[in-house]
Amino acid sequence: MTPNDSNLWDSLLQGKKDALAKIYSIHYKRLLAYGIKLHWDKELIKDCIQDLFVKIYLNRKNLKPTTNINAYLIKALKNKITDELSAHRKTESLDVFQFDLFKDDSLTELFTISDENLIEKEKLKQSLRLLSHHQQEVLYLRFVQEFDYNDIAGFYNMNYQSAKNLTSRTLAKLRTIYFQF
Amino acid sequence: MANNILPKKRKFSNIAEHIAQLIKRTEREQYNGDEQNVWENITRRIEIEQKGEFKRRILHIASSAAAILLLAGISIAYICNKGSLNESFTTNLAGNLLIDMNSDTLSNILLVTANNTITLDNNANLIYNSSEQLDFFGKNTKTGYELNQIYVPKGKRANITFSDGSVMYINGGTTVIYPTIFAKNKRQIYVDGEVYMEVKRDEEQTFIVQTDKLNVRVLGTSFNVCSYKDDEETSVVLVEGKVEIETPEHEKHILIPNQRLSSGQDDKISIVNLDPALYTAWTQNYMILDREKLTNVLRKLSRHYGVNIQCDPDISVEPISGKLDLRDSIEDVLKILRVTTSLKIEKHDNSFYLTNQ
Repeated sequence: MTPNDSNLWDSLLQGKKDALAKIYSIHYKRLLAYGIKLHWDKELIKDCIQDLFVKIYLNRKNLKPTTNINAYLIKALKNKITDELSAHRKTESLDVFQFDLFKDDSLTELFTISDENLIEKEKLKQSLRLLSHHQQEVLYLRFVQEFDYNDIAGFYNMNYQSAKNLTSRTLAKLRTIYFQF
Repeated sequence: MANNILPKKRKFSNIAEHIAQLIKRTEREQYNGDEQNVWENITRRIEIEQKGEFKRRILHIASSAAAILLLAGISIAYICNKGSLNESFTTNLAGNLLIDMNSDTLSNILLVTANNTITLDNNANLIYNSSEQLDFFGKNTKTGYELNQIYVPKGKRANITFSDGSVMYINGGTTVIYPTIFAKNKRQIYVDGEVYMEVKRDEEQTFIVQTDKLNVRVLGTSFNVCSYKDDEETSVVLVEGKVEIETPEHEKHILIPNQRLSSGQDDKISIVNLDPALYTAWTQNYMILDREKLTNVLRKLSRHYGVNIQCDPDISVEPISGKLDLRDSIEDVLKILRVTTSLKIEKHDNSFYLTNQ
């Protein structure tokens, strides 16, 4: 969350196009980075991001204020991708668009780049693979997209305390698996 | 034992923090592809919507914008036909050549169906719709579930819209074998030559472009396949999207954008990163060359213009770099080569011969 988020969002709600442009330039990469972990097809994700920004601008009168634009957009993108995929592929199994860190090839590479931490990284990678889609996503949102517990609560429609418990339980689980290697 | 736990926990925290930072950095540095294009589409769509045009129209523009974003280029090039392939790899499509077309004697585009052989004009446009009709130039010909073969000679072009909506642009000197209606679980065609494809996305019906040396598997994207039998190297260049390539030994390779996979005379596979524009420029009617051997340049020009161009063996490996506009006449293009490389050009009938000056 940046202190400017509320103001920037307010400008957007007032219909200022440069606010939309600023939000886009700050969040495009982060949205693409998240989307690519839901579905490998980058073009589809780009189409969804495009639809999302058009829709946000045209529907701005119906939007609520937010203090974390990133968390708002990430959740909206997830809904958009889920709608898009379930509308077109009724028979496709849900797994295809569940969160998976390792759908993203550039991250797979990152774990295998040789450095002094290579063995530890490999252990962490194997541990992350043993987490569920949901557990991976919680940790990703918390530690990479920097969601706070309020944001996580909003993302999963739960209360603050549950979001906090979920995050610490998931982290503890990852640590337990990691120690077993 | 208690002494062990703290350092272990600290080690875990350190590595987890390290990875989180690495991921953040990777995500900041990458994923910038098409940022500008996507933004332009967004502003265009908003403007149109605000002008109060019909919703239908917007959907149309949105989908054509999506089609542009789907652009992916794959270029496969052989530099000499090397050896025969593993039989299990060359599945039956290639064995279904209806007529073995001799590329040097034919001057018209030929479409061979189960019952008919039809001659088509240059730039012919064939459309298969799902009710199994073939339309071209207003004529309708009833077709069933059968294999067709189209041969486009050097210097000519044609395009086909398949029953699933995928579009294929066919370059000169190319044979394509394809079913009039695709099978339920996969869409497979065979290509000897060069095509540019815009494949309709359908995850349950993989699209496979089969060549003599490699199979290219896609779910839905646009790409360029160039695989002439008389070229010795096969290569696949990916601009956008994702493809899987299978070798005759059933090795599978996945390409990410800006990568080129090549398989040379020794069938060794190598993958390098490069600028894909070098391999996809032909679709925009120009050719970008980066230290390309003269003999390869002349072979490409010869296919494009449908003329015979030879050069003296002692200059055949001269490296050529630069950009050629393929809308110019062949004479003009060769003159540009002459300016940059000091060649002498002789012309006899429809053949050119280049020697050292």
